[in-house]
Amino acid sequence: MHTDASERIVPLEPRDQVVVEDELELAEFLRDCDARKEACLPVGFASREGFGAPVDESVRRVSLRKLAGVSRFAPDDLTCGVRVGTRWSDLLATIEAEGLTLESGPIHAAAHRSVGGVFAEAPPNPRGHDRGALRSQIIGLRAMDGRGAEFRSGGRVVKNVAGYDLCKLFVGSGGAYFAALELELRLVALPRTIACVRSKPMPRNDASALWIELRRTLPDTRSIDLVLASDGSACVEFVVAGAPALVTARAKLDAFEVIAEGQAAWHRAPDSLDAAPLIMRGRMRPSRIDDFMKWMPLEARGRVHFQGAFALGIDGTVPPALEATVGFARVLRGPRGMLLTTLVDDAIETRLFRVFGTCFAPGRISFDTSTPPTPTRASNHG
Amino acid sequence: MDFLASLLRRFPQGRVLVDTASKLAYECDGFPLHRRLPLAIVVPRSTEDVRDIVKLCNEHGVAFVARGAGTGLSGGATPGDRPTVVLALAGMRELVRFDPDDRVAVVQPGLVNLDLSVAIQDSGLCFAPDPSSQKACTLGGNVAENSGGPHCFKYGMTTDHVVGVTLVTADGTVRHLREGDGADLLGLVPGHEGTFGILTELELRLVPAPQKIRTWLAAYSDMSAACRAVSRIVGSGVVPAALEILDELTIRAVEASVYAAGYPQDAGAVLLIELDGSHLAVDTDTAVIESILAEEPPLTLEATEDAEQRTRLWKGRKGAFGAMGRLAPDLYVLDGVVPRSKLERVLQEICEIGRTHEVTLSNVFHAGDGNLHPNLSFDGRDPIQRARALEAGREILALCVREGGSISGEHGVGSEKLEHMEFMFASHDIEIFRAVKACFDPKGLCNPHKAIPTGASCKEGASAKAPGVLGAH
Repeated sequence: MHTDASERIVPLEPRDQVVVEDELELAEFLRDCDARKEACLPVGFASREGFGAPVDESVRRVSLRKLAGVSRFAPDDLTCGVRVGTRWSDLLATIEAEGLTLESGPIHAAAHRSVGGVFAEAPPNPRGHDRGALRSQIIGLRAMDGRGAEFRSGGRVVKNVAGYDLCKLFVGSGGAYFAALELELRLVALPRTIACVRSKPMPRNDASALWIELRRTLPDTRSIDLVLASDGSACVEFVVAGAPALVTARAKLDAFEVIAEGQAAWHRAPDSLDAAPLIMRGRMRPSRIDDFMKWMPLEARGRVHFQGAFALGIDGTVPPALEATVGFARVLRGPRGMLLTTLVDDAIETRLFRVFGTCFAPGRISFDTSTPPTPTRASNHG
Repeated sequence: MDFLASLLRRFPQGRVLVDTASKLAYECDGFPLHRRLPLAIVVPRSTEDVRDIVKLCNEHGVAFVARGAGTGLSGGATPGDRPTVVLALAGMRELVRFDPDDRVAVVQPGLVNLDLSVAIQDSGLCFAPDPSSQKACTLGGNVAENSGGPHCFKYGMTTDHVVGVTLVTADGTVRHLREGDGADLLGLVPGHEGTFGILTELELRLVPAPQKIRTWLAAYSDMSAACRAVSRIVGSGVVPAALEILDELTIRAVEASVYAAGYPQDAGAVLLIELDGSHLAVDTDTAVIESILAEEPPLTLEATEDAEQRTRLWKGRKGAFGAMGRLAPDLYVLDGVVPRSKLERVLQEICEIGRTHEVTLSNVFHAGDGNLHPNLSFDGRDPIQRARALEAGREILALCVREGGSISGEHGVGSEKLEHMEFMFASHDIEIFRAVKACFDPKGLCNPHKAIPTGASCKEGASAKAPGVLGAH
């Protein structure tokens, strides 16, 4: 379910990681790392091994895959609690059986990804605009710091402003601050009718102009993507969901066709880029799409989502002046395998890292100011 | 050179206020139970001004707090228990940049919430978070408190609409934080209640202004029936822009006041339902709402798409807290949250708490997301009544947490709810929060003793002196 045949999953061998049976074992493991002054990196199924900034060989991987299961499900309240080792696809299966879903998504390789790993990686996803950003889905968490002590942030209700929002700190952290144990999630109703609608292939500049135009004028969409093909062409793809009459009306656009409906449309993940020699992610300003298209190598393929978040696979090298063009980007795999943005030696990030104990390996985030190690191995909380 | 002399030297006359009359105007925000005169008030005009003030404070070890319109409801902008400088940001109210293609606006923190949507209305975009005080409250305050409002059931809280900020941290460093730039420091900022630094620019996400709005006012014989209607609507999958309930006592207070909106006075509760969006989306969802309402017909039902009539229907809701002045001289507005499915039962228990403490209690709330605003009306000149109101409030918030909810859905913790944080969080949680604050503010100068309890004793915050209207949302 929710998988993509083109996915390329390379899990770690079991010998490379400690698989904890429960939270007590995890606490023991973390205390041991702390006592030995050894760094560790939480992973789920380690399906993203090989992506992201390099992590030193000496870093001990600890898999949380057995901390799994939907721990609390309140369909009437549109919330649930889920342990981080739960497979993303299992979470969706549980909540969708009750007619609910996550606004975010679709996430590719859902059957191979843990819930904790997806949030820790925070990959760009089509339904990421409006309230659908991954960072908006977590309303509470229970986590363990680097000394094996448990703490909480947020709560179980969709509206809550008590205490600092440490949930946001987890999303996209790569597991660098703390080990999340359980996440409380905001759910939405699974739309009654869903359609994924796509234009015909066209020159990239035409497609980008159409993408900008539809962003301005087409209401009621859950996503509008600019889809770039490796042959230099592009198209625009959008998902519309809701009442049948609404979906039928919105899906009728000249030169567009419905390519998927129902759950197939909702779970239709972007093509995998995992086979690309160089994978880039970032966020550009849609108003600068023309500059972005000029910069982009012809063979680049991937997607630009509604708010400008993008993921691209490139065969060549990272083009120069990328930062000036797009504002923010990172290379998930490539010659440097790390952030392209200037690494910030910043007191706040460094202090934050220490708040939770120092045994977690600084991953792909900006306080990693050390000289990049040889990118022979990389890991991700996947 | 002493601190005040340095301030006066840096800023021209009129922008550093130290006279008693000015100080009195800044001694509290919309939570007047906590009051304290500031050391001085400084009126910055730019990020550089703010940076210089903060640097001076840092050099001299002086505490500081940001203040926008002073509409906060939890004492977040009240000077703390040591000499504190207030940075009055209401003058920093420029719309710096508006980019319709990116759907973002960059604003200064003193811009009033509603003024942003008015300024960009020709573009077909708007800023979605709409606290009830949106005609007065500032966007900097909204971000600092992570404000909500009636329409956040559909559109989310303020944090969902912030894509970047400029933050002057406690040592005077100017940081630009944007969504997606590595570690999500930006995500920590909404709801920091001014304890990390001073916000000097905000990059805000905009949404399409609705093409069509349809509003219903359904009057029910009792609260339970209104709550059942809410459950059915939420269960249908339709996402209304707002689902608001007013109870019997509130209806009577409203109808006897200048905010009278024509609510049926024999009703036990009224439910306001609002759909917004494209013409097509509103039309298709209207059929669903009307079918749900027909399942258990209300006493009366009024529906409108007319802007004037809609304003009238909302007038009672938006004026409800003002109308409470008819019930007693003082009002304590709580902000608890419970899982929506428990609303009906929790409301009954809340009313019981009111009866036990002999406090006049009424309810106005955001029913869609379980955000309750129990209103305790009392005469603060009577210490017994005042003590009863505070104790009832404490019990109600404890109840909300016991039921799986929160002590605050949108007003913030401020100085008001410091004592109640222990209901939700264990001591290690609080220690982590304190350590996170120290990352931004190692000396503890930035709005100290707010949002997070800071010491062994939870009796923190400014001195409790005068009663008044203790918050209205």
